[in-house]
Amino acid sequence: MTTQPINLLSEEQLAQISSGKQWTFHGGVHPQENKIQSSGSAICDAGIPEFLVIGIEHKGHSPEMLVKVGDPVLKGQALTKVYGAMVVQHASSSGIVHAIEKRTDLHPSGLPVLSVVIKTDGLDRSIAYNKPDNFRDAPSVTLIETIQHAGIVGLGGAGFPSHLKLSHSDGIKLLIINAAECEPYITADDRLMQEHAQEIFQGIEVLEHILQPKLIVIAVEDNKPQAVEALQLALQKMHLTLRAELIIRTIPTLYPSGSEKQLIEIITGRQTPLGKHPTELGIVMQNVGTVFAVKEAVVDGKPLTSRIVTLTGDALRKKGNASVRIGTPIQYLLDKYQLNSETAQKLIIGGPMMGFSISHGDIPVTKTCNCILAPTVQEIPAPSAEMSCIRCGECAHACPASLLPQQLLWYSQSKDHDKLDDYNLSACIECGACAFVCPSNIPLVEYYRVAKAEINTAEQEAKKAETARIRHKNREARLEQAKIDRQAKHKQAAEKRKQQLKEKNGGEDLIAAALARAKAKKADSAAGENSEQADTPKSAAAAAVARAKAKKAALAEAASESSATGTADKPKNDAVAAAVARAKAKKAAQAQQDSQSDVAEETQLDPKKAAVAAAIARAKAKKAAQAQQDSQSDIAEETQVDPKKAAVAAAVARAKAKKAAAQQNSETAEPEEAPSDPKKAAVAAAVAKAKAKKAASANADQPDNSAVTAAREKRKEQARLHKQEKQQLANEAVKNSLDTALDKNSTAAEDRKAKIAAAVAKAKARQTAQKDQ
Amino acid sequence: MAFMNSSSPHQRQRRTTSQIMVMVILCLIPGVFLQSYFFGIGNLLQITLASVVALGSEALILKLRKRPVLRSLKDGSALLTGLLIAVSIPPLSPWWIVVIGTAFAVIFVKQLYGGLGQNLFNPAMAAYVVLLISFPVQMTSWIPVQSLHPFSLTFMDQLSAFLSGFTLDGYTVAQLSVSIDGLTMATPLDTARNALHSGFTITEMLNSAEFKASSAQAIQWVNVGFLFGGLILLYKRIIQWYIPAAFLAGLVSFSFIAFAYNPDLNISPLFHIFSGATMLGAFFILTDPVTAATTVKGRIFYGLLVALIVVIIRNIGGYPDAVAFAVLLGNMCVPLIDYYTQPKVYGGRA
Repeated sequence: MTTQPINLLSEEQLAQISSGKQWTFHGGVHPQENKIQSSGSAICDAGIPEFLVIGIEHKGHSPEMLVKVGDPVLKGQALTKVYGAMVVQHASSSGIVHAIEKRTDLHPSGLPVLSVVIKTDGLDRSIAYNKPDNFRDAPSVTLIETIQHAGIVGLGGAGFPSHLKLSHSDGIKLLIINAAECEPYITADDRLMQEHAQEIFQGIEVLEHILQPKLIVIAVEDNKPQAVEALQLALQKMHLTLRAELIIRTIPTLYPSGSEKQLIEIITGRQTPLGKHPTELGIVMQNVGTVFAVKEAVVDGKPLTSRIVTLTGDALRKKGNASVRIGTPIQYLLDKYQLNSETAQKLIIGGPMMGFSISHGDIPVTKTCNCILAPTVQEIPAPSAEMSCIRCGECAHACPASLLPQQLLWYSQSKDHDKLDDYNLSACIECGACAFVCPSNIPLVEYYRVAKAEINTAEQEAKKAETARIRHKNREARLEQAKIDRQAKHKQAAEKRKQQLKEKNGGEDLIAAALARAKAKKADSAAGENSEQADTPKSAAAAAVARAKAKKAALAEAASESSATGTADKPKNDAVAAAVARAKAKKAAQAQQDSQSDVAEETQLDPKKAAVAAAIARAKAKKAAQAQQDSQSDIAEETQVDPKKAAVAAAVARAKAKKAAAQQNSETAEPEEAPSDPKKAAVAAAVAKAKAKKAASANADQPDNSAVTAAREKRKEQARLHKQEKQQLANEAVKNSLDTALDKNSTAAEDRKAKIAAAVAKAKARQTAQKDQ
Repeated sequence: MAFMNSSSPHQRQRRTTSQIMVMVILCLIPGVFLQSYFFGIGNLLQITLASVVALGSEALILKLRKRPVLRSLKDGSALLTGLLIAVSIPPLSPWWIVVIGTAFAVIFVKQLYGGLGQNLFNPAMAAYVVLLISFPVQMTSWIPVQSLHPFSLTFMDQLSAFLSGFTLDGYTVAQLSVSIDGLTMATPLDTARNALHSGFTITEMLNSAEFKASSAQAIQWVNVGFLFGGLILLYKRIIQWYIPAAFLAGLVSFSFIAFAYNPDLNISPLFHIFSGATMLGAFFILTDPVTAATTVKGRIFYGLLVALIVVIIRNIGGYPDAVAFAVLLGNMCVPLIDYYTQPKVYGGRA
């Protein structure tokens, strides 16, 4: 809200204003005023209801509480701390805090807000108000803070926190006191001016001290002659020490002249630029009721605990204005003003032009509630059926913002947000003049409100989407950067290592040297062993086996003294055997390799299928282990005395292991229990081990513990498979989407996978057997 | 107790669309009265039939469109359309002329576009143009004022002519159009156009027996009647002054330019504003809110545009009156006019 000097009111304009010149705004309507019903009687105290409900939440924000349930409170005691720009809320009478809970707010939405419910004691004891010293000595910042702490908001109906309006006080030229009260029926400001004109001027003095304007205008509609008279009388009596000029300006009665923008146009002839605040022009406007509250807060030290409410409408037998404690339930007031429940049809909060209806009286009065209107059907009939727009243009004629309401209606109905923006929907002040004049009974304002809400929602969503998009982009960039950084770091580290090694070895590159050495060696070995072309240790082993076989064969040959042809055949045979062995070794190596890559592949596929495959593998492994055991027990039979016992022990161990495995399997379904699984397996293993040991010790003279080893191996095997399964489960969520894509291939892949898994298991089992032997 | 909920504003002006339509209908009375005074009660017969047809066809289409029939009929817009057609056509034209015209206006021009408020063209004028093009003879057979009738026409004569095309004595409407001195009758604008086409000057035409025998004066009086009704509408704020004022001012200015350029070949501004359908158009046709421009500047521009087209067609074109054509052409320009004449919003840039 930067004030641009170009828009500020000039001296000539101020002179024009003070010379008595008045302007007018476009449009406007003349609704029936209906003010005499309530303007005749003096303001009275509405009394203390049994419960006071003071809302402390605003737009979802709740300030910090200063009281808790059961606390005694006094009138004027602060209930909340200052929270952001929100004003402080106060207890409006004495009593105890009965509850702090959500209660229906006095708002068109009817939503509940966090409220402090005070059970009053009827004594209305107040805190000791500390009357400040002369406010003229205080800096304006302190006064603004006082106003915030006194809980003062705009009492004209909008409820904008007053301290915010006062805190941009640079270059303020004109202070307008809004006493137009253009809404029909409402006479709260009228009565206030008639009865408290002096206090109002005191309040103006405070505002003058804060804002230092050059000119002050009090604008009153000409339908309140008594109020104007009272103001003039008080002005004469007062010994004002205002430095600025003060004018009481009577303006013609025309709705909505009390709207901030329109009143500014009436008084100054200037329009607040679209989307800007009046401070842009060097203008601050305050409602006359607010000014009174400011006086009470700054001069008397009293926070805002009550406001004047007009109670009117033909359904009320008594009518008039009352000073109502904030938080007083409306039903209490209706009872007090004798609502005729037979003729009452609706309850309007505010005036008939901009007020909203509420569906029941169990809602508390808030600071913005200036009128409670209970009209009969004769007074305000139910809205008649909406008819087609005949494009008569009366709405455009009445619109104080010079909008084209019927165009806005079309685009609201067709939800064309761009067009609505073109036609400046945001400039609509929702005064209701268009709907008031519409001969087809079209609730235009309602359409605009809905459209505004829709635009708001759409904007918020667009904003959210934009934020998400930017966040995503930033993340991508971050990841990319991290990758580059990492690579750079690795490269650097490698360089460093290299450098260090070089330095350590007197500038010689060890790796290079080692590589060179290895190469040389390889070349050597290649030269040395022509027949050994295999490159892996496994194939080397296979070759060794083949060699051994060849040797054996040679020995056998030698022993049997073979013929010449036999000797000639020998090397050929040897070569064939070696080739077979090589091929076998290669195949085994490939199988292993496949199985390894398969683990990775498997994790990407359906875990269920993998589980099946694993189960098959397990079964195979078991079978293999059993076979091996059998063979071992065979060996034991050959060499030992009691093979039966060992076999039994092995079987027991097997069963236990199986059980443990089954348990584990069943538990893998629950990811939370996964961590405990290895423990259980370990326990089971330990138990099995112990059993096996026992069995072994039973045949003390048998050093063979092959059964135990077999059991352990089997468990190990199972644990490994289980681990694999768990990994798959963990990946399941991520891979689910891939599943559908892979579904087509999965049947083929599954077969292959199962086979491979089986092969792996078989190989493992064989290995185990080999190790055991 | 539970109270009713409704949206603001709760208070409303008590003038409804039906009331507006009824007011417009009432304000037609002076003109209609003078019309029947000069031309016989033929126009009342036309009005009666047109009303019945208008309401009937509106009800039929609303029924087909599954809309609330009674509520829409009550708005009075169909009735007004029928009335405007009835006062536009020659009083003794045969009954089927008005039936075709009214049904066309309500069904095709109004309801097929979506009913009240949705039509692009003024229904009465669109129907008038269709009739004029389809049945030029019947649509231009204006009988002389009653005082100049060679035969006195009773109510039964007119009724018979209306229903069968013949009076009780067996005369056709075309025969009735022949005045005392055996000259074929026409409207003043028609006479002027024919005279100009035959090479006479305006002064010669005004002095010709043909013109003197024409219903020029009667039509001027009818125009005065419609002007009076229109002023009541303005006074009652049923219509705003922008369109009538712009139209009449435009008509005077544009015709004056032509008149000043060549007074012998162009009819005078005064002749323009009190001939043909000028006043009916200015206050009752052009101000039809549905088909007129809606912004203030737009309305002024719309009035001037229609006036310009009227002057051009009357002075140069081939049709006796131009208001219907001009209004339809103006209607076409309305969305464009509205778009370019948006007012400056409060606080917005000019």
